Order: sequence, then C-alpha cells, then structure tokens
Amino acid sequence: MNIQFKKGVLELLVLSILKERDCYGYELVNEISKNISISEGTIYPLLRRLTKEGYFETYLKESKEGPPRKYYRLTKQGDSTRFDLELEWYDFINKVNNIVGGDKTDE
Amino acid sequence: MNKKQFLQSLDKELSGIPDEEKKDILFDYREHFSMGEADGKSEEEIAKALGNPNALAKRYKAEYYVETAEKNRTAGNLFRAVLATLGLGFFNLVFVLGPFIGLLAIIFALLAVSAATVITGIAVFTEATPLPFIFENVHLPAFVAENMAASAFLSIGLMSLGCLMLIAVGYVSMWVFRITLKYLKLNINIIARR
Repeated sequence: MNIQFKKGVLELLVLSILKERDCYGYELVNEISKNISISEGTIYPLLRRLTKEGYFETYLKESKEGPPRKYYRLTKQGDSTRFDLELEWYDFINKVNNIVGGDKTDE
Repeated sequence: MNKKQFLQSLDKELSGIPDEEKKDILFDYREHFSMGEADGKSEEEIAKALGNPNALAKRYKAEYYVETAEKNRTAGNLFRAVLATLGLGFFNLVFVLGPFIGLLAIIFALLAVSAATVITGIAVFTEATPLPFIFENVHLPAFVAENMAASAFLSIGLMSLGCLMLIAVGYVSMWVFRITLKYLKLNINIIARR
C-alpha cells in the first residue's frame, strides 16, 4: 500500500484499536503490523503526539513477566476524534469506490 | 543493528531534547525490545522492523521544536522548528523552506514599506521646519511646502499611517507564525520520512 496512505490512516487505526481495549505499545504495533506492513518505530512518535494532544492517558501496569508496561487508554476527546476520523474514512472510501467501481454503480 | 546500537544512536540523535523527555522516548523502545525478545525475536529483527533510529529521532525533534514554538512564541523557536522539519526529508526544501522564505520576504517587504512611510513623514517634517537638515532632497509640491500647516498635517498623517501599518505588520506576522506552525505539524504527520 502507498506510504502516504498508510500514514494518514495510522491515527485512525490506533484510535480504533484503543476504543476496544487499553493496550501497551508493543501490542498496538503487533495488532497493526499483523494486517499492514509499517515501519514499526513510527507508532511510538504517533502515540506520544496523540497523548500530548490529550487523546490518550497512559498508566503503568505490572506484568507477570518482565518490567511494568505502559498502557494507553482512550480519552473522551480521543474517542470523539476517532468518531470524526471514522466518518471521514467512510466518506472517503465511498467516494473512491464510486469512481473505482464506476461502471458497475453508474450504469 | 542490535538493541544497544539502536538505542545508542537514537539517544545520540535526540540531542537537544530535554533529558526527561528523552528518557521517556527511550523507555518506549526499551520496552518494545524486551517484549519482542520475550516473543522470541532477535534484537536485530526487532531493530530492523523499528526502522532507522536517525529518522525516528528527527521526527521526535521536529515535533519537540514545533511544540516548543507553540508554547513559547519567539522567532528563534520558530526558526528552530522550521529547521528541524527541513531535516525530515529532501522534499521539505521545496515544501517548507520555499513557502517559508516567501512569507518572510512578504513580511520584510511590508515592514520596509511601513518604515519608509514613517521616514517620509519625518522627512516632510524636517523639510517644513528650518531646524535640522537631515533630509535635503525632499521635494514637496509648492502649495504644500509654502504652507506650514499643510506640511505639518502631511507629516503627521504619513507618520501615523506608517505606525498603523507597522502595527498591522505585527498582526500579520503573528498570523504567519500560527499558520507556519500548523503547516509544520501537518507536514510532520504526512510528509515525514518512514
């Protein structure tokens, strides 16, 4: 997939995953790179920025194996941004689909 | 590249960012490595998947400087933010430096015009009064030059107009400041190197 494309949706992907449950960074990276190949390191700058913008709260939680993990929790503000981005996303793919599958739908 | 090399070069490239923030950033990657290892991956594999530490550091720095400029609106901070964003990729010479120089040139031109208007006012004033002879080549239409009141009003008018323009340039500059930061943020998110 096109690089610019991936970057644009990365934010939506992270927000959507965190809507379901709180995650730590490594989990988020895995969840995303399972489906889409990304340069894994870029998730962390994104998480940091979105945290600073108030979309997430972080907390440390002990784990059975190894050191405590930093978990991210979606805030209300984060969720409303997620909602907006999701609408934009559907709007966008609908428009693209109209053109890409044009001869099926128009005629 | 192994874990140590990755973390070291990230640490080194993050110079300029306050220690506390740096520690925070490195924490995330350390955590990532230890979890990857627990998953049975090798240090090299993990480092490779993370990408180039230099590119990551540049992105953190660009974000840090933009943030600093937002909190502390000084020209120096804005220049640092623009410079840090330039480092993100070759394209930014065109997409950041070009427009930025253009905007600076416009502000400079507006400043020059305003200052010139004020100076013209002063020149008219010195011409109308016999006292100082700083500006010798001011040629006013005869009906103004021969009329003290007319020159005085013309002088006051020009000086005030110039001052108003200077104030307006101040507002324009603040606006440019805000727009530039907004654009840099957008740029970091979209154009930033992988």
